[in-house]
Amino acid sequence: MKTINKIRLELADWLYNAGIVGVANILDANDVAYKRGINYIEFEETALENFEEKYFKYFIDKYKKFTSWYNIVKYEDVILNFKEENVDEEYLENINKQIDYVKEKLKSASYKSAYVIIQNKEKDLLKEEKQLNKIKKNKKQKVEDVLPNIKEQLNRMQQIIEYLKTDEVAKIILAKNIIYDIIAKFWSDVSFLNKNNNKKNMYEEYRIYFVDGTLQYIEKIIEKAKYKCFVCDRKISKLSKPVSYDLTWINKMGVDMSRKTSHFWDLSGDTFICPICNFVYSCIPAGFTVIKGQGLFINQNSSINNLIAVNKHALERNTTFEELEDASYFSIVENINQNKVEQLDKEIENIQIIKLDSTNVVRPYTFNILSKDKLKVMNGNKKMLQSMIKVKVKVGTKEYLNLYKEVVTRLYEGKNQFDLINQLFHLRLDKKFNKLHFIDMIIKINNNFIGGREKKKMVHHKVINDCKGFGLDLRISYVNKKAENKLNGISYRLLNALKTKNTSKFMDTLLNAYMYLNKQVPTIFIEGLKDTDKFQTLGYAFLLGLQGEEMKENKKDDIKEDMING
Amino acid sequence: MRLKCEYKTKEIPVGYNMLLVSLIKEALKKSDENYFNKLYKYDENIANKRSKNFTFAAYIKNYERAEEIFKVNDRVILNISSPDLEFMINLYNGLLKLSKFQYKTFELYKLKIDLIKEKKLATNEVIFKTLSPICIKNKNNYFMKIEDDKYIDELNYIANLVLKNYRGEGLRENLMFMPLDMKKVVVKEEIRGFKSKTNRKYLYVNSYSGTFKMKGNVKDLEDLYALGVGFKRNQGFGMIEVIG
Repeated sequence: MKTINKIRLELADWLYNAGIVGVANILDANDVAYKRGINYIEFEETALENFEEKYFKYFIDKYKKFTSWYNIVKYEDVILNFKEENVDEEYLENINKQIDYVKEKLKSASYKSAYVIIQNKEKDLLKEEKQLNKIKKNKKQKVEDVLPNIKEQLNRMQQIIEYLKTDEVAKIILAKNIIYDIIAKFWSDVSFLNKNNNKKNMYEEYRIYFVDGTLQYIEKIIEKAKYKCFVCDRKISKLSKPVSYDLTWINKMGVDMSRKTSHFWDLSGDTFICPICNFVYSCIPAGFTVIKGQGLFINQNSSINNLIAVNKHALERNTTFEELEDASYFSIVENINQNKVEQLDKEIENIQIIKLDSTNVVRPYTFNILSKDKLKVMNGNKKMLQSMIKVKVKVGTKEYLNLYKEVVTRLYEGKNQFDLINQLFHLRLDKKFNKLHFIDMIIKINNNFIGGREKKKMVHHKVINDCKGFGLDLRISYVNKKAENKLNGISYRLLNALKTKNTSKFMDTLLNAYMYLNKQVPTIFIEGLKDTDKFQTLGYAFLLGLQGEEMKENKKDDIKEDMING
Repeated sequence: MRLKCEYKTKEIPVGYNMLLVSLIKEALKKSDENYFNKLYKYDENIANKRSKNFTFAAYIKNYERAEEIFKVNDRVILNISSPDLEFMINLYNGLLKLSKFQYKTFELYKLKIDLIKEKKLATNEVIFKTLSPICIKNKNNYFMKIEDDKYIDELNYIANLVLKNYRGEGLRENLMFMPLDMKKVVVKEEIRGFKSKTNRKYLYVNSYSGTFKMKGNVKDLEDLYALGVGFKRNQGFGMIEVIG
């Protein structure tokens, strides 16, 4: 009787982990049972049966809505709901736009290479494309005059759509879409991405190159073999395909050992991997989540369950990469939250976040570390952060600043927020930004962040609120004295002093402002004079108060947050 | 930072420095007693002799001399300079509270307080004029003459000490001091401690006022411009202003 071999994949570096998550995602999506250990997954070799189908099915399910195939097919709705009385100039323009799009896609290289593979030759899409034409209407004609043409073109489109929707055609074209949009961002040159295999069935190619090799290898792992896999230490008998592979095919990762061996000791390259690891690496694209050429993988490897959980994302058609990123940071924070706060120190280790930017040819991957401290700040200020997610600030004619992203980026990079706060104040003084309570939040988040690094640099929230109060008092006094017009000048001067961390210029301005009113200067600032971080926190809080009334209505929220952060 | 505080009074003693010291101390005490104690007391009854981070000068507008007092027809203007912001805030808050100040039989009424813009130093060679006379002592506590060879050494010694006490770092470069038009001034001071020790009513302080050139590190000059030059800066000596 044949014994069923089991394959165990253990967590390793981020790239390999992305591959493991990919394998797990594919198996999950196809309802294949496998075992999740603390730091490994294990499945039977039967799981690899028809794996090529499972592989593409996973991607198609996840990214279908982002493909050009979908953009063509979804127009069916419009066609089916077509009513003559709805047709107007705008409608016509819309149809023409879609016709353009369909024509462009149908004759694109990737579609052309798909036609070769498709067995069902019922329709020749290249011919169809030629017959599909934009609806022309000269100035004398009315929309009604071109109605027959509209119907004709919509009819053609409908037929194309029907053909595209047939199982086989959809399967191949979607796979092509996925290959170019997702998979090719991570690896190239081998299997269906090898230039020579462009016109072969990608499902077949995947099976031959990745799956068959793996299955054969598992059958007879030679324990006495001379070599070892560079990643998993399994034995390999030869340093050539299909027994072992190199890493060159993974974009920007491996070294081409056949061309340049001087990277290695004695010029003999040893980064060979076994077919199993080769297979795992082919699943890296399934571990990442990709939107418009940007990918994200969070290497939270405290356990395989966590790792898979934080990398699971539900994508909508209009999900942006930023939203994806935000959502995943939150899912990390959520994950922590389920554990008790006391355990935080023990349970959370630094988490590596890997981002792929496929437009960056030289260095597509960037790495960020999400440290314990940062996570704590994130967790402690969750509510405030959440409230900023959709806030956009206009900074130029077409330039917008996503507040949440700005704050979080700084948090992740371990930088303070003072430059952002300063920028927002400038916008405020130029009357381009009026959501002052966000500045208040950022000041507090930043203060928590600074306190997370060095306790003594933190300013108590009550002191921040006091400072704000002093600012507001000063404003009221100026207003009462009918000298409101002086406030802008004072604000600018304070802002510049804060930007350059010039305490004496700040105090000079402050003293002058109070002198004008014949009032005492709050001694609260003396504390701030001893430390530039404190000084800036207090200074900005004061400035915030100085900006005025809008603050009051948010006081309740502040108190709530204080209690959370207390 | 420089403050100008104007007072209305009928008369003021000829040795008015102690009156003004008392006024400053009173203001600090009013504003923050702890801060005042930290500054002026070493232990409960022992004075803190560490150099302080300020200097002052007084200007009496329109006066007539009558033996031991000046009769003030207009007002007394007290100029105080310090780079120490904590000191200045406390002082300002205190002075603000102190609308009337009584010293012995003299009464001062506050008119107004202003902030004076400081000049920016850009070169390592600056011409100053004294707002209050500069006083230099040697190790034996003798007031030195400006012609004395050691005058510059002692000036450097005290500048180094004052800077060190303020910013933790002494002089970066030695100071060059060139008197341009300096005249000797003898300041009469009536100090209780001095009187009981020596049985003499006044301490006569030999000092110099006028214009001079000073050369050195720009940052040093900047800080000395704010802190004052020489000894007894906290008793109305050594405040300077940039000319030109």
